[in-house]
Amino acid sequence: MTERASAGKLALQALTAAAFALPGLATPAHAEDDQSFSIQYSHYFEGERNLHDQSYSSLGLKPIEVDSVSADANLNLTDRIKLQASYSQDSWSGATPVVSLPNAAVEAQLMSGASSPNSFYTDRDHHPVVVDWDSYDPDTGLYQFRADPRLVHVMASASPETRQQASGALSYEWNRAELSAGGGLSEEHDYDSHFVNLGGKFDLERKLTTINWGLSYTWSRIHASLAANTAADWGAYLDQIRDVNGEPTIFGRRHDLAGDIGVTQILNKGALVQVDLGYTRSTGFLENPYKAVILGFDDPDQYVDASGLRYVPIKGVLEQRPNLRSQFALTVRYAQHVAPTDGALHAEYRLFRDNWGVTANSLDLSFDQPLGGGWVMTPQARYYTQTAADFYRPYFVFDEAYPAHPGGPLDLSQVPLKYFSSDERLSGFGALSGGLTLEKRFENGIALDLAYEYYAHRGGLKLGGGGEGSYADFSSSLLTASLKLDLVRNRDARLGAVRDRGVGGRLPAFVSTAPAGVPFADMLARGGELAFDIGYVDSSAKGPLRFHDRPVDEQEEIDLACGSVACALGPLSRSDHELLFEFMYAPTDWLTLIAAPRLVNRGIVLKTLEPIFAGAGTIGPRPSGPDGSGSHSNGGWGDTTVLAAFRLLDKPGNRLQAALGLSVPTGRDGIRLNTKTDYASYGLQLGSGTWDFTPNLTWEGRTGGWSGGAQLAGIKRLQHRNDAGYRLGDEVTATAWGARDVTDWLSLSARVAYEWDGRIKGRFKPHLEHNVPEQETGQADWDVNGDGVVDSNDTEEITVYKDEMLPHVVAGPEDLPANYGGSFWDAGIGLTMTVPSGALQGDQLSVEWLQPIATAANGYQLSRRGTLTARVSVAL
Amino acid sequence: MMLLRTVLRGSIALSLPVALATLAGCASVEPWERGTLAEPHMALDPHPARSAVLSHVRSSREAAATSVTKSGGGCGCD
Repeated sequence: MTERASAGKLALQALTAAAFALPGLATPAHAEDDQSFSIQYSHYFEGERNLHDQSYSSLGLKPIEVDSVSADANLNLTDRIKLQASYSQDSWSGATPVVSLPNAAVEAQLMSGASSPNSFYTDRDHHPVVVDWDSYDPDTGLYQFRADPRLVHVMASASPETRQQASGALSYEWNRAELSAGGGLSEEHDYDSHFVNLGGKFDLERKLTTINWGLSYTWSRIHASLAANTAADWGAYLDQIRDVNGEPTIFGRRHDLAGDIGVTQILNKGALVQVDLGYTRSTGFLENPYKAVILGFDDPDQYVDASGLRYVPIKGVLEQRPNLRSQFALTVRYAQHVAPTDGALHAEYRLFRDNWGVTANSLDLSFDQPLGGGWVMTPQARYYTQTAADFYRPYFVFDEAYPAHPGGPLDLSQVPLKYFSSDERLSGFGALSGGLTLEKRFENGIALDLAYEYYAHRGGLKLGGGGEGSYADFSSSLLTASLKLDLVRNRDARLGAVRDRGVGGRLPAFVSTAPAGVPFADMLARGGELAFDIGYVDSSAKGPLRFHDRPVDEQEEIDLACGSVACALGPLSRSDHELLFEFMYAPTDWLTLIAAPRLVNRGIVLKTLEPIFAGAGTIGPRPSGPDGSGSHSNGGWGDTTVLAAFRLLDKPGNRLQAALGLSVPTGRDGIRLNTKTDYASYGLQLGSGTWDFTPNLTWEGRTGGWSGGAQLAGIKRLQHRNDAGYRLGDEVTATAWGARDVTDWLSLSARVAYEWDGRIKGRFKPHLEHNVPEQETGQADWDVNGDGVVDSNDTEEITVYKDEMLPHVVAGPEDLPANYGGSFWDAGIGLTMTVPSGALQGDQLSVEWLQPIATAANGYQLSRRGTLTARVSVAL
Repeated sequence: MMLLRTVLRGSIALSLPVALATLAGCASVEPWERGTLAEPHMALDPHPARSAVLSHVRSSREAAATSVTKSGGGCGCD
């Protein structure tokens, strides 16, 4: 067995540990003078870490990757009251270090065949060595060994996971002061945070000097599953671990209180400086629940032969940190105008200290250089260095015998350290990064920018030396792209364009009043217009499981829901979130082109219907099925729809449009959970994996304050199979709605919808599985038949391990293609707000709730709960 | 308290040149002379959205977590 096995043991089912992030530690944005709307996309990816003799591909690992999207709005509600609102979502996947240990322990594991590293040897000077067990010299009774001072990480892979955060703040401005108050929440499957904050500023000396301050309070709840972390000792947390859906789950609470005060000073016509002092007090569960440390025990009384070889048993234990962390930070920012080039030099120095022994210094330099034509180029460089926390070591060795309870787990009361962590973030290291931002500002208030940063984390870059070993070095890249809209400038530019064409001073950029949940129903009013639209769709399902529309009991679920095999796992709930981004452009009056990428997050919670591993003979060996009970999710980019919408009829009160679209398979269709080689169930895949034809026909009518419409839409899969071996069913939807204008800016709608989803065709193709145990008849080395000789007639059943192509394991109803699709009726209500004036004139916000009213699902499926859709449409 | 003293000492040391510079030069900057300072690229943080992402990534990779003066967020990338 290799590191992979130990990774599996120690593994984190999910590695969120937002643990170390404090969403609340943001003062409400000091409201900007300009009103703006911005969206930003970023992609973070790491290079591979040094695993010595092993590679990521041989271990089935991928480096960590994060996709983040955020949207941010700053609006003036009155002259003095401003609103700031933001939403962000991160999806990440990949492998991360769980623990670090001597490479000698991994070598010893490889030789012994243990499922995880459990010991290593040292020479008489306590340096780790690798023993050559084949080198036994009968004359001396000794073995050969060689020094191996290397350290190595045990990596564990996480399924893609998603975090969502929403926050808002209101601020009030006086002539010389400003006060703002805000709050928000951040949610992910194992970590929830809520936060409130208060901030303000005072202007002194005709605004030459500004005092700014902020306070924030964050309270967080941790509930992390330890199901995959069985190799690590949980001793210190026994009272915090409870069973949730059959999984041991660690619970914790954390509180963060932060404050800062600063001074911003104008120095001269081309320079200003800000000095800020901040303090953060964190209490409660400050650990990363997925990180473990290796404790080794070098018994001083052990027998040591003439070669000096010493035996050190080791044990993985969940890390333990103090429950209080006090952090001070001093930040100095300086901006200097450089007249010869009209550039701006920015410098930021930061000093950080905490009571854990960490001192960090960083210096960040950047230079914003306008290039003419609205272009700005910004090269940037940063150096960061930190000392290690007092309780950090790559691994720990104590001069004492292995302190086990008799016949039981590690006795932590005999371990002379109370706190220990091997989290590389608490080690001593330095980091050097550099990047470039390119920005283009258009006359109409739109600004686009693209930035790249390369970041190198190196133990050898620590200021003053003595940083961690090179085994922990890694590099990462961050790509960001953003679109920022200056709302006032943009509205004025669009009003000007409308006036130039002599079509009146209103801005009806969007012609449709269809409810939020009707997709691709809109066109732009005129040729040359641009628009952007973000839609959020939340549809979920929960138990009990139903057959068609009849609830079924657990016995029927086990017996029938998985086809010819018994179900081992049953779904408790299913979630489906989607963020749809529509970029719309009208080259002419009668045509609008739409490109719509989407970010999706799908999750399922499974419970055990029968003990998975008991009675392997009846439900089959499960070398690679889904991980078992608990919560599983996938997040990332889904399929991208591209559409051309044609205006067929446009008369007062009556319009008809047709759209021809293609769904491009940008979402992944062959996702596997963790390091498994089998596929995650169909419903957890992020894309169809096929090119699909997506036409629709939309009619809308209006008379007086009443309006109504209908849409017929479909998805026709254009390929026989995707790369994973199956094809999703075709879909047809038909819907009709009516709406009533309540005021000139608000309309209420009611809608009915019918959807038919076809069955999944085909199934996951077989996957290559390593080390599948097989029973074979083989030669025995003892006299089986009792004839007095050991010969070829003496055979016995032996277990051999082979690589084999195996079909997808049907563990639960969601693994069976027959349990997808059906006919669904929904009805619901919605509202659409169209901004009548101001910076957002003509822009729309709509929300709709659809409630299931009739379901005829194929096979066994969960009960649908309803669909919430929210949509913001902004003209550019 | 030791810690606090160290940080305060550091901040005083760093603030001193700033304070001197302040006394020396700022009194003469009238509001109509602040055109350059009002340029977007002369803001103390000209790219706030990008800074938010950077501090978010750094807070999940470095021990010196974001301060209250920066926007933060969950880790997202253990």
